[in-house]
Amino acid sequence: MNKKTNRGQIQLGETTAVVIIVIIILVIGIVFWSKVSASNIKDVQSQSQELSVIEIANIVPELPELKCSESGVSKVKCLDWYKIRAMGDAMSENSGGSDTDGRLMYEFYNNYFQNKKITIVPLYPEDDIGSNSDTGKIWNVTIYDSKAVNKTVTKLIYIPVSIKDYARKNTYYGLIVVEGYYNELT
Amino acid sequence: MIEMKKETARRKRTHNRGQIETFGLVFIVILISIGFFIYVSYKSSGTTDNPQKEFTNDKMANDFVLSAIETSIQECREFTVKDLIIDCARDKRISCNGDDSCTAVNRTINRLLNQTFMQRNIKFRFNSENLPSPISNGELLNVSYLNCTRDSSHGQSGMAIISLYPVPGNVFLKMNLCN
Repeated sequence: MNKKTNRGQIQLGETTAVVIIVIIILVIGIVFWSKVSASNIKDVQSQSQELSVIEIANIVPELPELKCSESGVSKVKCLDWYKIRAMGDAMSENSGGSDTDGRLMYEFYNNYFQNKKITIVPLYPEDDIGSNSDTGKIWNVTIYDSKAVNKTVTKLIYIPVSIKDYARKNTYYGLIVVEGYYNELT
Repeated sequence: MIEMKKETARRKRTHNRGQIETFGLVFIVILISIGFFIYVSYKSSGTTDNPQKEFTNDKMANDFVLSAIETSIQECREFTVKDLIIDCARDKRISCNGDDSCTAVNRTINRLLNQTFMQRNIKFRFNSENLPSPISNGELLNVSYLNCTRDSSHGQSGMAIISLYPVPGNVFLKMNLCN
């Protein structure tokens, strides 16, 4: 009788040990799985942010507000320098929101561009266009800035573009730089 | 008495064997679990899509070529890169700041490549077809950066075709970004 009880206790102990081990494995599995899922979510979020920046980078060269137009026909991969300047000036003056029209304009573009900063950088030839006559340095024209400076992650895309100066009859080579600002993923 | 002792010893052996089998089973389960974890972590840490890089590879090459050929030359603003390439391929009549069209366009393209790709350490191979033989200070419009050669793995390429009309033929400018 006593032996049977002992054997039963031992078998019960074995079963308990196996159950505990299985539970431990399950817990480790759940923790591991949650980590993997979190990592996947981070990747998806990062990709989504990159795609958002890319989308804007594709839109900017096609904006009628900026595109070169000759005899009513728009040119491919070409921006009009004076349209760039006009948009940059309007945005820099009005993003503060003091003027109603300006604020509406900023809000209009904000619906599309959101937390981005879009800068046109003329690169070549280096003088004339975009250069500040006082400093001789190149002027980069920021046509939109969400001023999302408190964000920690920046996604950056730049694409080559022609910049036409119809007054000087010159075509410049430059870059459209699109920066997207996001909060760091936790 | 002896029979009872034998019976006890036999039961003990059977019980021990049962314990060993149980723990063996547990050991196998643990091994399979560890193998599964390693497999999942390996799969999840694999290379994920990088839209930014893909976009750069797809768009940069083509946009660069299309934008570069329309660019005015710093030393002779009345001409574009395209004008100088046509002149270089035809009769070299244009002179830019004392240089012939081939030298001027070579210098300009190299500068644009430097400002766009070299400063960002992007591997590329830029070459032309149907232009005259090498100029005095190197090959004409044939630049390779960071060991990006004809045999390297390329991303998408960009190409511009410049017609030499009324002279027959075309000049091809090709830009390849390496992966």
